[in-house]
Amino acid sequence: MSDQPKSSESKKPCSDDCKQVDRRSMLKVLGTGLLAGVGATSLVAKSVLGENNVSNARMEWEEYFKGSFRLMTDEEKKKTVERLEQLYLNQQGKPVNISEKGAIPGVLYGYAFNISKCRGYMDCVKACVQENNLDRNSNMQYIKIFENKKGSLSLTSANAKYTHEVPVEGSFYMGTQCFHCENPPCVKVCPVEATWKEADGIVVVDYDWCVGCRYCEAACPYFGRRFNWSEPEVPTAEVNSNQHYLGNRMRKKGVMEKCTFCIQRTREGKNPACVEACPTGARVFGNLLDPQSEIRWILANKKVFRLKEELGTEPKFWYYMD
Amino acid sequence: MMNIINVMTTLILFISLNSSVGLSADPIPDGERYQIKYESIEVNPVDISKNTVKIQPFRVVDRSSLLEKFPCSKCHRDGSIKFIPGKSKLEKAHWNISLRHATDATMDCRTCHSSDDPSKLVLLKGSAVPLSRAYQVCAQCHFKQVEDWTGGAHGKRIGGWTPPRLVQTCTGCHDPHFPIDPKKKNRWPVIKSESSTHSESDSH
Repeated sequence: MSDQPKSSESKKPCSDDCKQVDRRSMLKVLGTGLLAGVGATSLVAKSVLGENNVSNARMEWEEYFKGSFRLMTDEEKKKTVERLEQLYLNQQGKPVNISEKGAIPGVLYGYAFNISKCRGYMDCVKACVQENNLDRNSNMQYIKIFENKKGSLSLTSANAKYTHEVPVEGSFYMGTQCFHCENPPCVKVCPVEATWKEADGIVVVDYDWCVGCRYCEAACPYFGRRFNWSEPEVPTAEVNSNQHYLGNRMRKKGVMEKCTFCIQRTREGKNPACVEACPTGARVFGNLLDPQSEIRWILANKKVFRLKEELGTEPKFWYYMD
Repeated sequence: MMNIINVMTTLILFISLNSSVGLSADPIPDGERYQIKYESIEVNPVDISKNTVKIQPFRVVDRSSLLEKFPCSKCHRDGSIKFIPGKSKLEKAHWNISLRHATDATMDCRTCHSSDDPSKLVLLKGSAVPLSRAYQVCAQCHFKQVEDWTGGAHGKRIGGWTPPRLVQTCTGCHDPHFPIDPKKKNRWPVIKSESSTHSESDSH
């Protein structure tokens, strides 16, 4: 599709400054040239590919050369979201709604998990897979439920792969997922700043900015991150069309992903899918800045602990017991 | 029958978790999948415990709106029924309820139900409370659990994290007539496709 002479022409005027041109503006120049090429060959392309494919190809180019979500203006955010919605509609024939809604002011999300109540049913895991459009092919799951013998608390010796009927006498159950640390080590190590902590405390990933180096996966002390080794597969009929740019929108091969506290739900005032699905009420979610919230009552009145507190990561995920 | 269905549901869950095929049988209807709409009433924590006075009022599900045999005046037309254990002709109307809560020496129907008005519950001191305020009856013995429930450490919140707070009431999850049944999975019917296996006809 690219038009070689045209793109090299468009590079000429900068010949003096070219040494100072950084990678980003170089890509921009290249992209503009290539887009111009697309325009020039559009007549030919239309007859070969059909009009729909040309607009698809254009949107794909624009998507490819867009900036980091953090640096986008509101206008640019709207445009990328529109493109992604249109592309998915054209490719899969299913309309999706992708939100780019920012953090609600005065909100800092926190999570509490009652280890006295969890009975290991894993309804939360199922709900999470469905809500967040997780890859069915690799059986990706954000949540792990550990079966511990009563009297012990060692996740290395606990069973996280049980398939027997639960609850088992003499065992207790404990779930882990991304803990959305206040001091997240995964964010520090990202070489391209594709992961960061939002104002409401949710640690997010820009799937289109991630280069897939997996440093963050190595840095996370809680095994909270997942990598797409293959193209994620979700049957179109099962795709949850209520999506967020930083949440459950469709990912691609070679990028990291993780629990986002169901950003597409929680920023609308709903509970995360795991909380909603839990049949025992073991999962509590809420606003840490609201003195009347349940999570604040738990922190003030129950025995609570966090995993690997000595690391100073300050996870916003507390375990408590009756 | 209920037990068999519950065990089957558990089995299906585990099968589906371990194969990608199992999930495809139950696609997610977008948006409101986990939301179930309820009628609700306001709870004043002051009525429950001296330790909960600082907690703001919140809302609980009004279970009486979900019961098949409610209001009681459907059958108890004269507005009253005397509880004479073992002698009542109407005993078979509630044949599916067997009381296995504490011991026979501690509790019978009249410990919680009003003998004067079948649609009311009764506290130990004798005052009647509506069926939808069952938590006040439970709080008399299970004060620790109800205190946790009032604060938010126990129980099931419904409809999102933003105020106002709406929670499931005690009897929404626990069967007051048979609270500890080792075979029965007292699982709250969250996912709509599974809720059909949980009958609301028991007059909890």
